[in-house]
Amino acid sequence: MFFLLVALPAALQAQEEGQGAALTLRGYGLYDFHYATGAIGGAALALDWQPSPTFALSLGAEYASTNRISANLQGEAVLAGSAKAGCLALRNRYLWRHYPSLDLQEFTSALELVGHLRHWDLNLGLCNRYTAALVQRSDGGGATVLEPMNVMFALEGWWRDRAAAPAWNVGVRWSSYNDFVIERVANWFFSLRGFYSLSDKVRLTGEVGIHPVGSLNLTASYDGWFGHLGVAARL
Amino acid sequence: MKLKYIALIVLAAVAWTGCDRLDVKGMFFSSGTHTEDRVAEWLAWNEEHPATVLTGVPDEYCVYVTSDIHITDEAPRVEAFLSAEYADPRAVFSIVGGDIANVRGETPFRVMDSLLHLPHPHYHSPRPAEDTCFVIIGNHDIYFDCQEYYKKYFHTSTYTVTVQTVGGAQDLFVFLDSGNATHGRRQLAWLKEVLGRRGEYRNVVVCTHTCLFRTSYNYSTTPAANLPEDECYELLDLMQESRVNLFLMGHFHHKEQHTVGDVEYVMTDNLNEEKEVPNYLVVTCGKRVSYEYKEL
Repeated sequence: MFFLLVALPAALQAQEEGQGAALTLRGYGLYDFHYATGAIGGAALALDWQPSPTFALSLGAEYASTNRISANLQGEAVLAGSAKAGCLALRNRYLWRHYPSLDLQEFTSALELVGHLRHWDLNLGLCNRYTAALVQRSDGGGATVLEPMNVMFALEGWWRDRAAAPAWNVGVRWSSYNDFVIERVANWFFSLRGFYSLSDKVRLTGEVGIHPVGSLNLTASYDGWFGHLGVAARL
Repeated sequence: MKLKYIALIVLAAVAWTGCDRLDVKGMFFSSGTHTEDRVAEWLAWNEEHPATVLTGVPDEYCVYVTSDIHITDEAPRVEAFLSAEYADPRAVFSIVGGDIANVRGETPFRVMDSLLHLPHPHYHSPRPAEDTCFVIIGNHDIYFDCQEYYKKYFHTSTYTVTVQTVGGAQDLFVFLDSGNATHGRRQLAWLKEVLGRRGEYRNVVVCTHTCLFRTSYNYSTTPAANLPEDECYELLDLMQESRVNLFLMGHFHHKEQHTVGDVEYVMTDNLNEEKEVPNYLVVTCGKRVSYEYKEL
């Protein structure tokens, strides 16, 4: 089965399902609306490779209508524990973003505690993100930002018992990050996500969520919403 | 046993909500105005009040900058900050970059306003007292719907100040409202229009309250206190494209400096009474823009 649209790292999901190597192709259309920046349409493609039950690599690219082009390479590894009892996982990501006047590259390293139940997933971790601008300063200086020790969390509940490998499922998620193809650690958000399996190898996936801006230590303000709709095929 | 703890947490949350410092309810549910509405009000006020132009300024001058002053009822540190600026013959004006208030109600805004009307040794009539210190709104200033008090005393948080020097140069200071951790569509459009005239100015300095980067790992920024990512990167791109010299931010209560592309992003320290060693920023504008932190 698939390791998509779950709060668990990809490798863990496969471990639970006793799979060996797997190659999955994901394609998505996305719609993002912010009151501040307006509507963004786009498309994303990702290829996930899982050479072992405890290790996975993902290569993704996204084009957004604001002329933003992004590409990433992400690796996930289980350091200790098991999917059923919970585990410690490492997630590293390289992300390149192109904007009209600026190219940015980011390296994010996250350490997560993962809890997995039949209807619930809980992720809690810390991440460091290092950003460098490819446009160098005209005086020759550096151009970097280190964002250290930011909390990542995700609480996700699924309607149907996943142990029974249902053909469809819907879930709700409260999280400070989105593992959709291209994403940084962001302000927390609520979303509704689900999937429908067309066959053993093809699955439709979708998610809708709201964008809050400023939360917890700020006065809440809901800035827009997003939606992803896609298809994933196991090759 | 679990229920007992849950009940205690709920009670604590309710009690916390009742305090005057943190608008706990407002952290989860929208209250007061959205950025879009506030910016519409600020821009409407601007239409009836021409942007400030300071003339006859030396070719090289200083601007004193602070933020997060968090006034409860008295503000001796803000007074000391303003006094330091007044005492500096190179200083032309000061900036308070948001979070004036520390508590619910009108008092912090009234105290801040009264400080701005203290006698200024350099600028007597005809320059109005307000032109010696420029203020923007911060997230604490909209807690408990306090933006009405901000509006009453300071009128706008989306505006420009132009400095014309004796040598014929012009510098532009752009002030933004990011009290809700977004600048909003209307304000970003206004900002693009303003920065579209970049060629008319020698230096451009942009000032907003919320920090663009997620660089602080203290309690106040985990798990969230930043702009939406699309807006953040759009701003970085716009600042680079517009060759902005300096981008001033507050919010995280410490000193911080970054460079992305050619643009310097600098966080002011804070001046609230709880800070052990408060600092402020002195920005020097001349052929280039430089800055240094100074202990109060």
